[in-house]
Amino acid sequence: MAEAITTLIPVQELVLGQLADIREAIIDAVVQKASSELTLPEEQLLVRDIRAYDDLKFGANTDYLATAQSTNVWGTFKHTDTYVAEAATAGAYVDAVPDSTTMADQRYIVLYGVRDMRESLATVIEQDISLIKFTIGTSDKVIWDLSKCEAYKDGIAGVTPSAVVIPPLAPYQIDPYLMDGGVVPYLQLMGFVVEPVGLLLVPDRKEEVL
Amino acid sequence: MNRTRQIYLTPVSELAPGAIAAIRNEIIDILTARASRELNKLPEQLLVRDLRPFDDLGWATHADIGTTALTENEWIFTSDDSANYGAFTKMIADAYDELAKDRYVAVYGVKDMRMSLATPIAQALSMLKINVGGNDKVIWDLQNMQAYPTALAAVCPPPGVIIPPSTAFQIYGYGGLADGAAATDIASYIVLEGIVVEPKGKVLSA
Repeated sequence: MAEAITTLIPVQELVLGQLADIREAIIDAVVQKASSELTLPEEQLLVRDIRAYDDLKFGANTDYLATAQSTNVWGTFKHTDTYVAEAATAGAYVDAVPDSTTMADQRYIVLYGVRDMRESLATVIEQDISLIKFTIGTSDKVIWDLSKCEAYKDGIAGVTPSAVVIPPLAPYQIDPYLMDGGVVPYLQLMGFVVEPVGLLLVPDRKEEVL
Repeated sequence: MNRTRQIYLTPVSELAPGAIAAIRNEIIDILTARASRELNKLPEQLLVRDLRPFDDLGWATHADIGTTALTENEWIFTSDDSANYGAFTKMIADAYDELAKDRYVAVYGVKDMRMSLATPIAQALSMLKINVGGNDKVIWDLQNMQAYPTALAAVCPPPGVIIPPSTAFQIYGYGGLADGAAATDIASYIVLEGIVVEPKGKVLSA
């Protein structure tokens, strides 16, 4: 099968174990790419969680939020907090990342899905984002429809087999599509950072701790 | 699986069937083998037990993280969000930041208890960082599991984070909530998923 399948699939619509298979396949592919391009053996690389601000600058643009965020939160856990949506924008893609942002040197970020955190709020609210678009360099890579995941109340999340990879030093932009504006977003991007050991963290390898 | 160091946090709802048991069993095997070798004891002279938040880790004993420093075995504390919002804050007081002699701890995941409250509340912390022996070992994004309100739990691939005996360690909480409109501190209901391996008789004689 040669076609690029970029559709977002609700996690409940996958066969048993398929999500783990997608995750493992994506990690393997990006690790191989990083190992080859950075000329580092795999054991000198690590795979870690994404920091929303420090790695992606997600939410640090007033096109998206009324107040640009500089903290590592994707949304917030209570809708009365200061993390509020830009009220004036509706029916449009809005930049969630500051203009001209580029990925850090030696750092790869792979994004392969989204999670919607609002069902874990004390008071559940509505979701204002329908679509989300990723641009790497000057190319629009994918547009995902988040709405299709919202039929599953106990786990609003979706993944795709065709991940978006932001390579080191590449310019990128992430554009949620706001339906109305003025509603707090609770969107987390599902993905990983692949980078050399020591750039930020020095975790143990299984073979080293035995 | 490739040979990288994999330290990401995966929600249990996104694991393959049986994966969480496989992770737990492998970490028990890893930690028991290491303790057996380094303590020069047979596996049958060791035991594997649950973590005690205060007695083993000194959880939330640091005055910076909570409005009141914990001095008992509970995970729940009230986060001082005016002090730790948007920053990593020490959770372990100096008096507790070295693991006991002959004790091995592995931490390989987190759970969030707040959705089991009669009235669920907000979550105070958005990230955790664990430092062992002066090295930052992991930064975990606690938001990973928030999309699954009926299963707020997540785990890391083996070996997780291992704290050897008599080793300095620190756990940092990252405040995810501003001291905003509500202007009240929020309780944290985060539990660390992990095990202790130590000689029988040190605490228990199972």
